[in-house]
Amino acid sequence: MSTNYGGYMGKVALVDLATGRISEYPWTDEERRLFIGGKTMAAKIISDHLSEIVSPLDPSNLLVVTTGPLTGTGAPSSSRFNISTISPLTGILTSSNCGGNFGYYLKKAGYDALIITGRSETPVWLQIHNDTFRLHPADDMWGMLTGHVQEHLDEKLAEGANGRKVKNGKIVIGPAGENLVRYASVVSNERLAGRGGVGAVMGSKNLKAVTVSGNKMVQAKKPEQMLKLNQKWFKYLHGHPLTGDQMPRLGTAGLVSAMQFNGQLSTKNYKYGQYEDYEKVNGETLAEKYNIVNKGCLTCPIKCARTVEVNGKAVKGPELETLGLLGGGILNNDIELIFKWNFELDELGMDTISAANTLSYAMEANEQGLWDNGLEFGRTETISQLWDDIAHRRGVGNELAEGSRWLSEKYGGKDFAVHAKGMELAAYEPRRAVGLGLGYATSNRGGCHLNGGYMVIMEGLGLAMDAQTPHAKADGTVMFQDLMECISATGQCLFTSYAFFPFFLLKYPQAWYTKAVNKILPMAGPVMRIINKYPEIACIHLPVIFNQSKAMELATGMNMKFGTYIKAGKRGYVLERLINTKLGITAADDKLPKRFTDTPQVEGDDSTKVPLETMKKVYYDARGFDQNGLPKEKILKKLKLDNLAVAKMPVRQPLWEGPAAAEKKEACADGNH
Amino acid sequence: MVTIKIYGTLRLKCGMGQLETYTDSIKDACRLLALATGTPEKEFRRCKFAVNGKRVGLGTKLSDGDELVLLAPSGGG
Amino acid sequence: MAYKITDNCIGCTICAKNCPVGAITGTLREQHAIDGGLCIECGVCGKVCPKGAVEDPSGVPCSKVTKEQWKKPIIDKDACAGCSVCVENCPKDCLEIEDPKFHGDIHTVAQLMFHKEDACIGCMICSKVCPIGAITF
Repeated sequence: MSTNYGGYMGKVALVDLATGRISEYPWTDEERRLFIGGKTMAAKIISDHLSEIVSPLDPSNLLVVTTGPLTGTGAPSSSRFNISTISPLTGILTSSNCGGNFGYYLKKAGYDALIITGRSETPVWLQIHNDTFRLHPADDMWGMLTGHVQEHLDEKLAEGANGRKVKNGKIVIGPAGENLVRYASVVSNERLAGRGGVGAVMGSKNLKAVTVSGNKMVQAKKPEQMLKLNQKWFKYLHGHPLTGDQMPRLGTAGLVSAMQFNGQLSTKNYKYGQYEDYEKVNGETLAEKYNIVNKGCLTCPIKCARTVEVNGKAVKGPELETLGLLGGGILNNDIELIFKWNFELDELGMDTISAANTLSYAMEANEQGLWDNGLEFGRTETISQLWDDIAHRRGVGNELAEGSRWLSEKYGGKDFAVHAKGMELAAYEPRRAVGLGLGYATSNRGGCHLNGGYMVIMEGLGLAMDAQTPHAKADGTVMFQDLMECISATGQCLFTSYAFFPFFLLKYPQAWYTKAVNKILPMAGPVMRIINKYPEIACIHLPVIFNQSKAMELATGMNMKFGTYIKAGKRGYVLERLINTKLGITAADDKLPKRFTDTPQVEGDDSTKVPLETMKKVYYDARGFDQNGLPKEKILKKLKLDNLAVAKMPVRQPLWEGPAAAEKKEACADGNH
Repeated sequence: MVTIKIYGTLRLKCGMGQLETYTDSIKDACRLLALATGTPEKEFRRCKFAVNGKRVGLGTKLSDGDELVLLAPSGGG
Repeated sequence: MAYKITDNCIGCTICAKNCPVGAITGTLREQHAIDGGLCIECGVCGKVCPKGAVEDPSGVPCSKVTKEQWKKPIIDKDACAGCSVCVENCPKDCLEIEDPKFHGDIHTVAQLMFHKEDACIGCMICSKVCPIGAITF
């Protein structure tokens, strides 16, 4: 099915691993216009089959790999692709974004998206070249680490091409995905679609890897204008203090010091907001002593990735989350150990955030006498072995592989099992950035800072509005959630949106105008509400700071202004929410552990708690949801979601399986013997 | 004696992370830092400041044994 | 959309030997053929064919260009952001992002690899894919 829009390749492939059947999935231009691409497109596809999905690890689950219309057009940082599925970690929709080159090559093969369903009887890998799809046995690769398997696949492809190297993109899983670790990730080059256990879903399908290559080119609708815009945009990102200086110099790791400064650095399983040894595990130390060179994903001018040496080999360095959670989070002040663990977790194919948080939960549970597991804060010598045990589900690792929600149901300590909807939180401590607390709680995929709107950028990291006030946080959260949803959907990296904040506000925090903006922001809720309620009134392109909507217009030929852009993001966000509500999510699930809502971070200062219920009320209002957190008919109609199959579907039983379900299954199995 | 610590990209730019010196105010500390590193004074004055872990403004006085932290403007992650 | 070999082909195999993606097949002294599913339109077959037996995608016959006359990419080092799109797309793998010039260097840009300069076939693919037009020939 071809398309009249530029930027798209016009085809979506559906692969059924049970039968080996390949078919083209119908996807119309109307759907392209409404659901753009990336995670929003994936959500639409999953929503159409939601009633057929039995459980996350059942063959009926869909693994949907999508690209955005900007992928391959040359727009900055646009090589990102998205993997969505029903998550074994949360039992609801998850979407995981990755900077590897798989999406870029998928479009070269002529496809905008790849849907994988069914389950192969034996381990396989899928080779795609243009329209040729071939399934090969992967028995020899089963158990291989992600780096090794990627090298091995390159050799296999070369064998099939008379020894010539074949340029290709890959997604692979490691042992963690094979053994259905609930937070297993999918790896492409050195980048990961880390969160939500997409690797476990791929593993459950017995699919070890997908390689893709092709010789097609992405055509923008207006290539000359696109080139001019890119030139301007690259220059702007280059000159901006965040995207042109801080991110390349320090990476995301540069935030450790700022978070320490603001009391936002999760420490000892989020008990505290500051870590005394932070200087040993911060971005400055990483940059000064260890970083070899900054690297970027394909097409990225920002280049925030680190390169460090582990066992004499240059490998990817840790991001902020990994540094924070495997540093202060478990009271470890050895940065070289974090490099090593980061590398090991990537090789095993596991999410560092969830792994680190599950570990710190286990340490605290042990400390409090709830679960005798031998793990202690600050004791690091056994941890490398532990990662291996988790990935292979051995001993205590077998239980840690289930994630902190599962463990807290079994052993107790729900107050300090730091997850939202089953997904572990990122390294930002929300009690000193309450807007982000609201974001974590309401985020569609669970405890994610990015899907949660990333209000912390206005609450101390970047701008400095009052971090403790609930004012304007709900409306700000809605606006940024929508904005970031659409940026992801177009295939771009969220970091391009840093440049949304004019450089002088970031460069001169002490200037009168910056202070004035910080003072005004808490009062700006009603203004943001207008944009949130009626995005279509912003029928312009924002000059200089926001090129995303213009790039979409030039690449695709759609009529896309700032307002329509936000609205497309809103449509995606509400659709994801709608899917989740059909899987049993209500306002009661939009919650944080009691550690954040009931215990102040600073003893005696009640403002250092997250006033979640207060903000939630406003949030649902701003979103057009009822107070039970369900989207109202009116907002569905406005976003043209009311006629989708999912809108008419009855609410299903939750798909997440806790320890009780496992016991029940075991009992049944015993009964059968 | 006051201990001054610099974080953020400014630390890489001026090539110094820590300085111990005698000074009685943040403004004076910025002047000394500029002298010691050759980086323009305004680069230091536009930072965020904390003394002994508490956020303060540019006009704050310092006393013996204080730890002054300068955080260069930053954001995002 | 691919290059084509015409009846003038004498089966000398030079094009097949030079094709960077192995898209050309054929036996000695017989007409060769280009696989459209593999051809990346680098045009090297047209440049090396002694008989002018290769047509470009728009049907224009190519003429032989001696190797000394193949153009080399000129990279605008000030504009280049080191996004590595050219590196990823170079069929001969002769482009790279340079090593940092000093510890903490964040402006590493694309360059033609010194020891692989001869490998460059002047296909101009790097120039076509560069998002900001920083590569010229």
